Amino acid sequence: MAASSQSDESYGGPLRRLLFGLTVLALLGLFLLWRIDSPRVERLRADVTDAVVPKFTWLMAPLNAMSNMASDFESYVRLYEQNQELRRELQQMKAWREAALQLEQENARLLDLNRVRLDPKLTHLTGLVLADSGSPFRQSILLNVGARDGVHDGWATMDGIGLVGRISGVGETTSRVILLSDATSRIPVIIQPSGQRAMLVGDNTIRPLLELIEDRDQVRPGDRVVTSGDGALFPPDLLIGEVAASPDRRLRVRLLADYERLKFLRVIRSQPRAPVSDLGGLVSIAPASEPAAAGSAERIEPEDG
Amino acid sequence: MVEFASRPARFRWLWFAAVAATLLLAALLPLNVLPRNYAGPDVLLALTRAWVIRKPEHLPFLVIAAVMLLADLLLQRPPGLWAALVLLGSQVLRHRAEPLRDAGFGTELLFAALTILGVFAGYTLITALAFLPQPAASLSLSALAGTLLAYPACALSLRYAYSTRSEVDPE
Repeated sequence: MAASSQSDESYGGPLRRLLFGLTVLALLGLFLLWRIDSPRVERLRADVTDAVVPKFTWLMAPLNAMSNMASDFESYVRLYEQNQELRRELQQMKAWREAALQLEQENARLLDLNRVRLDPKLTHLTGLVLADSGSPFRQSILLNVGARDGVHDGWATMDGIGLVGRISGVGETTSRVILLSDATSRIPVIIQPSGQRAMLVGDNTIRPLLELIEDRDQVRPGDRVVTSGDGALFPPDLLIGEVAASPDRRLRVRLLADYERLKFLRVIRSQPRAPVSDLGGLVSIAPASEPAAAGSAERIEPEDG
Repeated sequence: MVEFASRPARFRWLWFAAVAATLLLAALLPLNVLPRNYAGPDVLLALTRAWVIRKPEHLPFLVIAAVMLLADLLLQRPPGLWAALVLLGSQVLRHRAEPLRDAGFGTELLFAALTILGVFAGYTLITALAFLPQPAASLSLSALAGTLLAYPACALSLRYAYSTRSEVDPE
C-alpha cells in the first residue's frame, strides 16, 4: 500500500504540480475578479445556487417536517396569548382600513382632476422560503421565485406584517433576500411621529441599529419606523418596526417581521422612478408665443421627488 | 495488485463528494434564521483535513477545489478565497501524510490544527487587506475553536468507516 501511494505521487509529478499551481491561481483569480467586478460573479453565484438547491429540496423535506413539528408544538403553548394579541391588532387594522378607504376615494377624485400619472399601486407576488444562508456570518434566505416569475434585484420583501429584507441576486427560479439583520444591509427610514430621517444599519443581531438620526432627542422608544423611499431604493411607507433603546444607549429597531417563522414572503413589485425629462403636459403653456418661458421652465431640476 | 486496486479506487472520491454534499445541504436548511453571536464548527474543513491525512489518494486536489468552490458559492463567502487556502493546506498535509499517520495522533492533530489555523488566519488577513467588512471576532474565533474540536471526531469516524470497509475489499 505504501508503494502504490508513492507511485501515485510520482506519476506525472511535474505535470501535477503545474496543474495544482494553476488551480490555486485560478481560485485566487476568481476572488480578485469578485472583488473588482462583483455583479458578474454574483450572477454566477445566483446561477449556481439556482442549479443546485432546488434539485435537492426533496432531501430537505423530512428534516423540514421535523423542525416544523417542533416549532408548532412550541406555538401551541403560546396559543392563548397569541389569540389575544391578534384580536387587538385586528381592531387596529380595521380602523386603519377605514381611513385608507376614505383616502383612496379622495385620491381618485384628485387624480381625475389633474390627469397626472402616479406610480401604479404596489402589487406583490408570494414566495416560499427554501433555504437560509448556511453560515452564521451572513443573514439571508433563498426564495423559490426568480427571474421567470418577474423578480428584479433590489425589490423589497415583507412577511405578513413588516419588512423582511431586500432581493439581491436573482436566478432563473430562485432569488436571495438579504435580511435587515445582515451586516451589509442599509435602508433609509423615517421615524414616524417626529418625521426624523435615519439609516437602518444591520449588524448581525436581531435588532438593527438606527444611525445618522438628525435630532436624537425627538426620537423615543416605541416610535414607529417605516421606509422613507429615499433615492427610489424601496417604496416608501413600508412598515419596519419600533424604536427600542439598547443597554449601550444606542437606538435599535425591534422588527415587526417574525424572523423565527419566515415561511411565505411577499415580494413587493416596485417600478424605479422614471426620470422626468420634460414637463409632460403638466402645465399648459401658450404654444410658440414664448419660447423663452418654455426654455426657462425646462431648466427645472427633475430629480427632487 | 496495482491494477486491481486502481479501477474501483478511481471513483473513491465520490464518497467524499457525497458526504460534502450532505453537509452543505444540512447547512442550508432553513432551520435557524435568527443571527447568533457564536458560530458552529466548519465540519467540512475538519473532514477534508482528516481525510487527506488518512487516504490522500481518495482526494484528488481537483475534487477538493470543486467541492470547496461550490461551498463558497452556496454559503455566500467571497468565491475562491477559502477554496484556495483549503487547497494549499491540504497539499501541505498530503506531502506529510505518510509520516503523520505513523507518528501518532498527537502530532497529526498538531499539524492539522496548524493548517486549519492557517486557513482561518489567511482568510481574515486577506479579507482585511481587500477592505471587506469583517465579521465579529467572537464569530470567527468560535468557528475556529469548533472546527479544531470537531477534528478528532472526524478522524475517529473516518477510522471506523475505513476499518469496516477494509474487511470487505483488501487494499
